[in-house]
Amino acid sequence: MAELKLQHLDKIYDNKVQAVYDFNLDVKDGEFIVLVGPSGCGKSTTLRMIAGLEDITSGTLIIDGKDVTRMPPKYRDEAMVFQNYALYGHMTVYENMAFSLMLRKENKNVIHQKVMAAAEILGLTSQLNKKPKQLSGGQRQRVAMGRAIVRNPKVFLFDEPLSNLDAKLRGAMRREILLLHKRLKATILYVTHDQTEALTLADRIVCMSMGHVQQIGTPLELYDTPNNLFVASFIGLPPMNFFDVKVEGGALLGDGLTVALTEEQKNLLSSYEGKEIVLGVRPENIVENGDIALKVFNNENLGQNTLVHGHIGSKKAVAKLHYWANYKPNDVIKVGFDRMLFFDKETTNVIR
Amino acid sequence: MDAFDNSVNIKKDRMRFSKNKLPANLTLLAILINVFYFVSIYKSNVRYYYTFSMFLSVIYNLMFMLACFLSSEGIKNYKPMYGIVLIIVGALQFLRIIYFPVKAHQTTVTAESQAMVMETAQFIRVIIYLVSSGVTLIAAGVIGYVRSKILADYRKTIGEEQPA
Repeated sequence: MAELKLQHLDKIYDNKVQAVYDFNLDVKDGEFIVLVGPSGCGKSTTLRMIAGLEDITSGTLIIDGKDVTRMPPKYRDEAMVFQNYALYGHMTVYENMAFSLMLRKENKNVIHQKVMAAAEILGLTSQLNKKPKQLSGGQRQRVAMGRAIVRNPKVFLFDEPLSNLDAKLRGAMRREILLLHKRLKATILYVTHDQTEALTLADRIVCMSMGHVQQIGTPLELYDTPNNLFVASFIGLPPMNFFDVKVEGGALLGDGLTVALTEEQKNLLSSYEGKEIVLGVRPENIVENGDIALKVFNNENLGQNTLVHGHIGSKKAVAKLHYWANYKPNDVIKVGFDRMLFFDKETTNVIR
Repeated sequence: MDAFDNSVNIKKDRMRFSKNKLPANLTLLAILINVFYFVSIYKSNVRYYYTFSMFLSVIYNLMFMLACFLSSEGIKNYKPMYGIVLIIVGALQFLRIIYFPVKAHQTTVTAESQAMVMETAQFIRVIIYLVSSGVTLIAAGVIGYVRSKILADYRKTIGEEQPA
């Protein structure tokens, strides 16, 4: 396995569009890094630069102390798993998994042992004689992973591997990938736009937007202490509620809400007295205990949780209640906030 | 000795997931050689010699190619029966030498102008085609049969069912 250093990576395409800006990241040996962000944020481009499928316009990529920036993909000792599996339809599962080793002209008995070991790990032993078209989506993705495993590469690169699967299968595959990581202790870079995958799989998450890295941190850091409005809105499901408020006399005043601040919060916002800021409250931090009126628009029961959609003042808000609630449209609930985040309105950065 | 045993077992285990390509390809090669024979056999200055026997020969060649092709597919999937079929068809190639080339080579036609139905050079060529396709088919049959039996025995030892 390997350590990676990505130093000041930039990607500018021939048409002068810049997809990635000054990307810096140190990946430790055996670490599971997830690159997350909306479509077009540059996460796949970054992964493809690491794989060698895209040229690096400027910057340095170091794998295990060796500069591989200009090195062709086949010499980088990386294995990539694609969203569309990229399996050979005319080959059996066994042949698909063995193919890269056969190209390397490895001993056939060694290839066999590696394929059988990978198939055992992935639960594919009984499927080895089948063609990809005879497999389900999850099984095909496991074959794609098996093909990567047999190569025993320094780094595994996953480009949205679960996006083609249905929700249930995605959950199962997520757990399998996690087990695989524990078993192989591999260095993994994983690209997804699904924040659930990011939060459940990653040792560290790299959150990207418009080609810029917004925040790098553990899942809990990104959830609890987002750097800015983008990260706060992107991480968390349902997304965080935002309200424009004014800091005035030890309280926050906004459309339909007044929130008294604690001493600690007053100190934090002392330089914003009289100014407008953005108040961020996660749906799970809205509790039925307070004096802010939430006018119910819709009630979504999810089993153990209920999402209550409504308005606070004229602003849309969602509350996540931890029981089966049965509110009707136009009901008014009195709510409070048990945890709040404050953001500078101009810079969009969190106020710490 | 252990390492050798292990290697032998891996080789057998590998057969479960790979096709029996060598005998299958040898069979296809035999078909190709037979096509050369087929093309060569009727090349003669004497047109009326081949009549009813030509009809039989064409039919046999078609059946030969069909049987070989099906056997090639069968033996590729380790079906021992097709190995036996290939050995029989291969042996028949030797018998064909007597029926057609030898007879034609020994015949001289005098109707138009005195001429041998099959010149010696052509005779040798068609004999080479028949013998080589026969040898290839017998080799394919034997290799295919032996490998199929080895795999079947190995499957029994690991308790795996024979695929249909």
